[in-house]
Amino acid sequence: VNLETWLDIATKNLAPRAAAKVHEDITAHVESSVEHHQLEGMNSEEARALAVRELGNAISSAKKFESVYLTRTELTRVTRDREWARSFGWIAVAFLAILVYFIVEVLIPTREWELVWGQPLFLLTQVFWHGTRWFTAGNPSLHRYAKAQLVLQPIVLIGTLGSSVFFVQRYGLPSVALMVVYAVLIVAWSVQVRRDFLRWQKLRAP
Amino acid sequence: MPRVPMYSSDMNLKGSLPTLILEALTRGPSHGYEIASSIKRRSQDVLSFKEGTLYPALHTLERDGMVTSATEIETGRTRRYYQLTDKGNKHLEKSRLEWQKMSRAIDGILGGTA
Repeated sequence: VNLETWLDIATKNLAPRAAAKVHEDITAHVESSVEHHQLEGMNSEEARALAVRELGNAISSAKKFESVYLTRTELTRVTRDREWARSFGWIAVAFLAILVYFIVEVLIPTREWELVWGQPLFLLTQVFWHGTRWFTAGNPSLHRYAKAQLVLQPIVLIGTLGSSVFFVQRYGLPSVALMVVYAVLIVAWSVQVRRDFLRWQKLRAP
Repeated sequence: MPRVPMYSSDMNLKGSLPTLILEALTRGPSHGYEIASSIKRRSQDVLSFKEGTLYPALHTLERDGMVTSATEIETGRTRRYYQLTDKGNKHLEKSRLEWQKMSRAIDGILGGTA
């Protein structure tokens, strides 16, 4: 691991200002350490490699820096997203969605539109949703993923509401109960979008 | 997830690093490398730690008002110097007393004088 990689890992979840401070401190530290090792007789490459090794585990340092600079909510989210990404839980969701899709296809001979297309659409939105969350948590510098999330959320919400209306009309379901569900869904998504937006703004701040 | 302070009265190595940093700063403003070298030298390399853990501890101390920092350009290199505050000094005094109390207690058991 070279210094740049170490720093990337250690600061990847920090806001730019905090990351810059860590970069500054660690870089100066390593330069001093390299000079010290060179005075002991090492060549430049050996000295630099040892200086970076002496920093220790970058992930361990990343967690410590996160506990200094992230709010409790951010820390919870980063930890959850890191565990989620590591567990490949979102891949499990994808496989489960495919499985459900094929079961539905086999069990229901009359291929209803929303059943046939609903599952793959659900699968795609889930994969994209969790994939972008993972990228955003792991690489705040990749703001295009954060932007994509913000654009995707209202589109998926509108799509969900539209297909649900179709479903209600088709089967004559009690609309009042479903409207309550929609209201809860809209509020929950709005809160999520607001949080994502605030976090994105914070990450983008100089 | 609760935010765990990196300094505490527990004198395990993790808990004592911030106290050792504060002690190293009693001799005047210093940068991270100098602080790490000072701790190792004064402990005769007994207290060794991964240097990447020094800065989270320093930044926590700064966040909590125990130290302040300022950057200086030194031979073309930007260095951040850390300085002990009154709050940090008071915390150090308290930690020192706790350590002496604990040290006497452990010595009383392991030193065979009790």
